[in-house]
Amino acid sequence: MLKHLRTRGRAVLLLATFTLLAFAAASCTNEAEPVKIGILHSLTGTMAISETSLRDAVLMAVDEINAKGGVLGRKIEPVVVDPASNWDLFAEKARQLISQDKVAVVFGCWTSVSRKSVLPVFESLKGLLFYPVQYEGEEQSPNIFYTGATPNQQLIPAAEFMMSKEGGAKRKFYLLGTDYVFPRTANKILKAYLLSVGVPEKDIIEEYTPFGHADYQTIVGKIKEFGKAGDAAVLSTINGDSNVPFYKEFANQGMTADKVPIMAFSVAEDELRSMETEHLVGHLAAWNYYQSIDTPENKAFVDAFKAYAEAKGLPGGKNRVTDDPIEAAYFGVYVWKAAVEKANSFEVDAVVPSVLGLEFDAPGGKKKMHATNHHTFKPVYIGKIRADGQFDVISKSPGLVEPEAFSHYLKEEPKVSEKAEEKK
Amino acid sequence: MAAVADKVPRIPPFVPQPVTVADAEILRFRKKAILGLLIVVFMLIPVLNLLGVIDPHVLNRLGRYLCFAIAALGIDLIWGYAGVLSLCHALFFCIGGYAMAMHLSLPEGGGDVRPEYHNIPQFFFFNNVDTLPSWWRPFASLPFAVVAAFVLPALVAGLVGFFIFRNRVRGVYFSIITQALAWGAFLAFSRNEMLLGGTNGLTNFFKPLNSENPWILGLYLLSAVVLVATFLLVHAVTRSRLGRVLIAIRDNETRLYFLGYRPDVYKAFAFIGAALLAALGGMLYVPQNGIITPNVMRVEDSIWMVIWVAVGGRGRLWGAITGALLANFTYSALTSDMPKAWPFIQAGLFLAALAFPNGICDLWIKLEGEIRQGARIHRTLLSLAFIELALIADKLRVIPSLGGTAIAGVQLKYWLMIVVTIILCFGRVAHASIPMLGIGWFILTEAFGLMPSSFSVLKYVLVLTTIIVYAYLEGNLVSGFRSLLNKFRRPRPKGEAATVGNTP
Amino acid sequence: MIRTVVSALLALLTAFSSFVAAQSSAPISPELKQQFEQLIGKETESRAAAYPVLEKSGNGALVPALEAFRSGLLERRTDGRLVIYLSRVDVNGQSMFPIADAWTLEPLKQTDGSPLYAPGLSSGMLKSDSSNADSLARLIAVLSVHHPDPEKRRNAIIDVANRVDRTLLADLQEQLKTESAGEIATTLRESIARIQLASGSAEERLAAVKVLEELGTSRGLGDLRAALDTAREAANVPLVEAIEGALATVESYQWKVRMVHHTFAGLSLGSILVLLALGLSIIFGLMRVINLAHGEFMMVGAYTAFVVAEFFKAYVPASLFNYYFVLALPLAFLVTGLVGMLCEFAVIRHLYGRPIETLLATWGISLLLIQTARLIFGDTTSLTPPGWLQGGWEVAPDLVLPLNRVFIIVFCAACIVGVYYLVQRTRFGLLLRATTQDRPIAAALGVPTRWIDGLTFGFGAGLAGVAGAIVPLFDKLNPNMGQGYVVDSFMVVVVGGVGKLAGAITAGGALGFLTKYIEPFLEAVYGKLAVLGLIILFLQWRPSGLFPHRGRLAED
Repeated sequence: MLKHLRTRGRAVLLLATFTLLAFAAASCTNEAEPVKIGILHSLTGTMAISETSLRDAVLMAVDEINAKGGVLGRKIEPVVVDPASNWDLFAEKARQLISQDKVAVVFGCWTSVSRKSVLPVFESLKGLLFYPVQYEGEEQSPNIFYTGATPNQQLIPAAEFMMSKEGGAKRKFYLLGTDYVFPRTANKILKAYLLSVGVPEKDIIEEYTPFGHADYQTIVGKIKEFGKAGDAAVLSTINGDSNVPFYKEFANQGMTADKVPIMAFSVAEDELRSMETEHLVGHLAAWNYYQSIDTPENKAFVDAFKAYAEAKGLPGGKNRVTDDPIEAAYFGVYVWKAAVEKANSFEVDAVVPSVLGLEFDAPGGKKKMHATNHHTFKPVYIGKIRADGQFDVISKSPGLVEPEAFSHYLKEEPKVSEKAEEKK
Repeated sequence: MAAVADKVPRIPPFVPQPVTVADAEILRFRKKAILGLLIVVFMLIPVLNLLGVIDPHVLNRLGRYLCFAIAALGIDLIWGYAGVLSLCHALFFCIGGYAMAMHLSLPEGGGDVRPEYHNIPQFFFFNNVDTLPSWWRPFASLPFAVVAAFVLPALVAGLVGFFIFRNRVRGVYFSIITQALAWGAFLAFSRNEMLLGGTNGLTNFFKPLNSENPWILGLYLLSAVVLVATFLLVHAVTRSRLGRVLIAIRDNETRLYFLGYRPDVYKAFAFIGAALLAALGGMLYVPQNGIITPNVMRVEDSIWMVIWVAVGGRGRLWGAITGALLANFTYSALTSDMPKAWPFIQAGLFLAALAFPNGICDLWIKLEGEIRQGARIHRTLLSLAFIELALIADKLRVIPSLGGTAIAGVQLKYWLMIVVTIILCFGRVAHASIPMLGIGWFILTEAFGLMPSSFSVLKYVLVLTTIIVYAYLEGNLVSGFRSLLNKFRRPRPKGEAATVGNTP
Repeated sequence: MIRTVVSALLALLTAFSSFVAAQSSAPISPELKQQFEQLIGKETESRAAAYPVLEKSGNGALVPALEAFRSGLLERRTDGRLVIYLSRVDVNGQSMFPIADAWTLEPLKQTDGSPLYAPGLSSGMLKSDSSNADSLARLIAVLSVHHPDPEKRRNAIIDVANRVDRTLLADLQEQLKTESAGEIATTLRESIARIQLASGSAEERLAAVKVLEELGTSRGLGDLRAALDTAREAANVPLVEAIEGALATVESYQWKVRMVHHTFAGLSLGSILVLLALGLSIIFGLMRVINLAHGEFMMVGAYTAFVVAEFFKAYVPASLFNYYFVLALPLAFLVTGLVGMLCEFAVIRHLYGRPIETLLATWGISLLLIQTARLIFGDTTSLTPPGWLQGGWEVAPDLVLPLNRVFIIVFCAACIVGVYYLVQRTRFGLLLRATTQDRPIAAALGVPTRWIDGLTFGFGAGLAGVAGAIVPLFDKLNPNMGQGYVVDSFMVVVVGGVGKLAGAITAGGALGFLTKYIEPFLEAVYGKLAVLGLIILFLQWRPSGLFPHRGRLAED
């Protein structure tokens, strides 16, 4: 009866062989210990569509740095994890990267909710995160550096442009967005700003649609009515694939960019890659970087990115494009490298102060980190969508715009609306 | 269901285990095992945490998984016992979670509110709401929040259950409707007009809850205590007359109906019970997680919860618990170690788990059988304990590197550890203990955070190894291969297949 | 049914004829070309002088060149020739601009006769600067009224009325004399009436109200409302009365148009749901398998169509591109059907008789398929619809039915007829029904039930694949696309009664209508919840769906 229990000899032999193999496979002792960095971008799930490109950009920067000898003589070893578009998993992965893998820095996150869920982790475990996407502001963590734009680096200049002569001197604004925190906050700031410059409340309309909304017939009808006199503009924070039906419907109802221009805050080259651009040509966007910026540095960066995508066999290959978040993700790695070299240490406590106020060269030109508030000084460009899915820069801020973590329009909001009341 | 005459299921169908009277030896063994488990959960882990071996984040993760285990008990109650597959379990989990989160995000619950946002949760500010809505106000009191966390899911489950079961809507119909319910609720909770934070959900709770060790340890212990309590409660329910009726519903509802019972009432009861357990898990989960978003109530998450129980073994409460822990540790490990390929591996594991309808628990039953036949597992346990203790000691930097010369890239001290482990394994080993060694080692190593990710391949190789060894010893490897070959031949009819009740 | 087919064919013909019409254009005299050169030239004065001359010419054939100039797509080749860049197409995996002559719009050819493409915008692009943007916009608007493409011409005519541009009124009236019938004439009448209503004399206004009442368009409706306000302020009693009468007529007409729109939208959504639900229902009726991977089969079909389209772009002459759907649809069916049979063979076959386990197993399959698609195609892809599916078919004023939706409805109707025929009239259908009704007896009578199972699964999956090939015509194309549809199609199966073709068809149509009728009143999200509530209530009345099985089988 117990015969089968006595085959232990073979069992143990097998076990031993496999274990040996396992350890051999896992051998990790190197001559010069590499420094680890974490990459926390969703590679599966709903956010993969946007975040995968950022991972590629960070990995490309790492490859470049490693090819030139690494940081402080140590190679960089990226630890790529997949939070799978699951916000809870973002926090868990962040914890694991910091306390288990002991990474020196993490590059990651796209959505505000993912950043909000990792924020307490980075603060309590003293980690360091570089966040590369434009966002709604109202946040400033000592453990996060924000390389994307704050509202005053994207929204306010765009609204200013629309009200200027070259933007068509628009006086009525339709604020249209997808229903989540960035559009809600962005529109709140825009509204406060518009009220403060004397646009009456009745000339500002705010409207939200759910994620994935596709039927814009009614809304475009309203915009048409609203913009009859030709003095109205749409400020759009519509996200993701809802943009395609929106622009299509806009064109279907006979509206063009000369009559009512759409200024988009969430449409960049990477999104345009999969859209039929026909209906979008002539509309506007506000960003801090475009692939079409005509400098040798940027050309080199764009070519390198395309070559990288092709060499690594990534989907899209040499048709890949760069855009604002990709640039921000890419130069984030170099900012960190420069700060580490300046501090001569990988410790977060030493790196943070040397990031503050750091000046650096990014593909889109010289930029600077803020001396206190952890955000980035950036130029602001207004771009016009071209038929090839690229942008023509039609307006540029005179210099770098100072980031404002907490919008002063929100703080003064009650006062401003009082003023507007008085004016009436 | 039409009898499947020409279809000899290659994989045995799910056979509910009869309630057997275990003999004294097995009972003694079980007692020891339970005692050991309790010691690990309530003493070893807290002590190691206080010693600094277990990081707070590891403990936090373990605590959250224990909450999942509580919810998994609910699924086991309704699916494993009553045989009704509910695909909106995550919704109840979230309702409980949201009720607690509403309390936690208010200043009375320690929420991190700021004067510039009118001292109410920040998202209100972005929705142009300046004062707390009246229906939010009662949540300032903890008892109200707790009561609401139980009452709301019970109400939803009661209503849905009443309407659906009343009509004798059965099996897959119920699953599909609950799935649609979860989908609809996810869409609704994602809207900002609901004033529940939209897609961003509720956050900015009292910060130390998931960052300071005393709080983390406290919440972990609370979750563990609640898990044990709910386990005992559900265990008692399933052993009672009520539990027998539930099992009868699963096995032959029509017969039960003709015997004069009202299955709809019992099913509604099981559904409400499951919802309450899920809500309890959700309530404990939220403070440890620090955020709750509608993303947790997607249809996928509900299906994922069912998979925990399928992996662990339905119809056995500790199967549900094991499944919840194992599935979550695997998910977490795979998404870190194989960011590109994990969905393939996950789906593969999951199909493989279906091939064993009784789940991981079957191993335990097998082990008990072998013990009854005289096998010992002391050596297996000893080697398991040795590896874990050695790794812990290594983590504490107690073990010197022994000269630091590496053989085949692996340091000498690890070689020594391997050799000792193998020596310890010698003896009259129960076969079923070999894969358990691998799985146990995987869970413990993951839970303690002992393996840096550069050793990631090792984890999977070791677990796979133990399973292959087991399959080889059992002779399953050869016969399995043979049966695979048979699939490509013309099947021979083998007579009437065993049909099992009307398992829906 | 026949009427639908005929009307669809008519629609296709209309679209095609407008396509042909766009190719013909009035000749452009050398003087005009010279003026155009001045307009795009560097001299500020001659530039300004060119605008009135070109405007006077009224030659609509200049518009494409002007528009290209405005969007920066006009190029001067090295030989001095002016060319325009058209919308990008994919050539050998790279997106390129086709190039056409600015005057004749004929595509440029390489020496070997193949079309010439540009990979990107060149340095020879001529760009308009913002100083003249207003004049340029004005010029394009004026000339577009004579645009060779009827669609663009109509839009321009409508625009004149939107701007209340009286300067062009005479021009429009002149045109109306030559255009006696057809869409253009209607549009001309409408625009003239709208301009007159807004700015004409008292008699003109009254006449305009009559015209707008007769036409009943929504544009007229908006203008009438505005005119009513001003007429009230001016206390112009006869005008107010006339407008009030006209408003009532137009509003009731518009209400009818809206209802037709909702019905049509419901019909097209319903037909997609029916196509999906048919597969689900057959599979469930036969094997008791809840196929959670059905949405992913749909995604496989969509990517098959995508691959075919890419293949056409790369290897087949561009003139044939419009017909790629002829190949894509059957291929989508075949490929998806094969994938379905593979799944059945590898996984589902071993789980028969265990519905809940198959539900989980098919979910695992769906994860696999999604990730595979993501690794191969990535997330940013889009399907280029063939030319004949773009645009709409104007049945009556304001009642425009998008051609892609018309196509979907007609195609789904054809598929449903096909499935009905297959199930009710063929030998395979007979065996399928036999196996569904009583598997052991069918097996005893020699029906190869295993093969029937495999084929049926493949068939059901294939139907989903065909649905997937047409869904990207109006929706997104990405690895997750199937998940939004699968829940709805399950509801169709539940409402219709399991395994019943008639049930799936009725319920699919009903659910489509219900969703589209509720949507205008409630937002889409709450509309979904409302539909779900209605379904639960419906099941109180009919627990086994609309068409339950009769007899003993109804038990399960």
